[in-house]
Amino acid sequence: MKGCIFNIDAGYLEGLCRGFKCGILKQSDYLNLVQCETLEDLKLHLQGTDYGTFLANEPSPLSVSTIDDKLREKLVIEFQHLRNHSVEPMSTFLDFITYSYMIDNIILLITGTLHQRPISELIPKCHPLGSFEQMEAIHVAATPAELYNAVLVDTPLAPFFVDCISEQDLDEMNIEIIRNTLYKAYLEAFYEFCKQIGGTTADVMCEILAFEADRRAIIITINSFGTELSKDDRAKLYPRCGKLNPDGLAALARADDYEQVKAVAEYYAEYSALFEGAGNNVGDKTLEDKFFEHEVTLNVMAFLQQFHFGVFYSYLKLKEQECRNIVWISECVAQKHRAKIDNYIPIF
Amino acid sequence: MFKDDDEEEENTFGVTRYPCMPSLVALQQMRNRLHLAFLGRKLMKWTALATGRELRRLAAELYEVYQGFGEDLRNAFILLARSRYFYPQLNYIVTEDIGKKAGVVVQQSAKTVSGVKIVQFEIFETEYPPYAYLGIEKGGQTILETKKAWLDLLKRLIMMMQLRASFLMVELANKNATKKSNVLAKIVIPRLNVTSHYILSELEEKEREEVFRLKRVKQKKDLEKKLDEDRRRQVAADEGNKLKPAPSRSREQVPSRTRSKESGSLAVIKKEDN
Repeated sequence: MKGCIFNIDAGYLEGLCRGFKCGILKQSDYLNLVQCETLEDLKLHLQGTDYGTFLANEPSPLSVSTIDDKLREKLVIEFQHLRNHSVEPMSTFLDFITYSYMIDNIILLITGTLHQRPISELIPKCHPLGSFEQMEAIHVAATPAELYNAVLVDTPLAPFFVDCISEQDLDEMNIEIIRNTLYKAYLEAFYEFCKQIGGTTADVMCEILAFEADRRAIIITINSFGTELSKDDRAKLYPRCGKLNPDGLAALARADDYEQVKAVAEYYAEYSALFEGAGNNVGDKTLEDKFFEHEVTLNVMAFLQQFHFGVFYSYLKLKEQECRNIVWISECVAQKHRAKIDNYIPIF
Repeated sequence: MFKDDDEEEENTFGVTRYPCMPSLVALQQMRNRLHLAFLGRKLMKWTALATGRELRRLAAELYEVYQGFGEDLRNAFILLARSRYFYPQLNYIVTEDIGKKAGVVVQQSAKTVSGVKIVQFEIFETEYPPYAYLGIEKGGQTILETKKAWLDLLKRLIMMMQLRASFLMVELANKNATKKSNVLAKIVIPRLNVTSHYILSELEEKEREEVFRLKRVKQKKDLEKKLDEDRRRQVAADEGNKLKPAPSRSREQVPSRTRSKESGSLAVIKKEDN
């Protein structure tokens, strides 16, 4: 959509988002963090960044899980502010972003309910961005099928269930398979929505979502090699909104080992580059590391264009990567195991 | 091995003897007990040696198992942190989805080693591996490595526990065996020896007393005989001097009268004659 019309509804929020983006830690900040000896040092260094005194009220000794929680809390507050001030179609866009967290929460709640855990203990473990009103009502159900009929039909995720999972499937399937099936439906729906918005948003978001879809297909294929997942079941988990659709996905469904997957990726320039640098030796980056790096590059490039919703998505993903980086560095510092402390992905 | 500290004669300082009646029966009993004590000491000595050897072997194994433990533990924790890097919700999902069937099962069996019953653990991985599809869409490889590392740690812990428990049991057996062998060697066998000596000496003493008594009795008997002879000769001489009186008294009566006049010791002589 054109710049002038865009700013009426979303100009303030895009400006805010770009402001937040400037507060993302730079490489120099990471170099400082890596040299910390204790978590208190880390806290001191973080005070100099955009995070400020977010750890000020925590009792010492500091633990890594506290740091993780507080980092996420800051991100959630920022995102919720953006969401509260948004109007259509941006509010739907931001809602779509939260559906992925909702899927994680629902899977967690289903798992807990199956093991008869009390709801009050499960709710705090859910991701705050993915909360929905019917969360409290989940304990009435004993099986996933009941859960679906009673609770999930009213959530925004109902269409994802309907598309691919029937009631018996819910009871029989492994919980991870359910998660991946839901995520596939979600990704495809998100892709359609962005395409329908059109303009720069579609340009930016469809690129990112296509990469996400292809990445999931490749990773699921590689990780399913040692398990009992059949090739057909595996093929049902591939999102079809990426560049690999349809030939690449068909080839992946037939693959039997890592080499064949690599051969499939050869046909697509960006993905073959990722396979080049990866390996399983001690000093190499793993394939997943390379995928994360590429994702970060795509998200950073989203900020190069103006007047589109992609900046909000990219900001969220970059902040999440930053959280992961900081938590990894804190773990290495806390455990005094500095061998792999540089395995984070610098963003800017 | 069979010659050393068999010099029981030197070990008899300060030991008391068993209280018993000095008799042949008692001597035989003491000899039996001595034999058994020797056998027991040999057995205990052998047990102590074997358990000592076992202890040293177990100590070497323990050292090996403990060797890389610290390093492996740290690696396992870092791998877990890396899994959380790829998959931040890992903790919650894993703790909420604890499987109902065990993934690793330990079977206990008893083994006898150098006479000691020690416990042996067999580790089986059942057909219910936990979290089959965990991290299939992100972090799978790292999670697989983490699973492996922690399983190795678990096996190592079980091995450590088994070795430690066996070590304690074997050590107990070793202590018992050495204690028993010491007791037998230093106390029981010397006491038996002293008691045997005592019995022997008592028997000898009795023998001597008996011999002496017999000697005295024989002496007395001879004296008696001599006196008797003298009297008879006297009597005969007397009778020869007078004229022959009526032979009313028979010869047999005289001996019997004289015999009954004497004490019971003559009865002994009579027995001896017979």
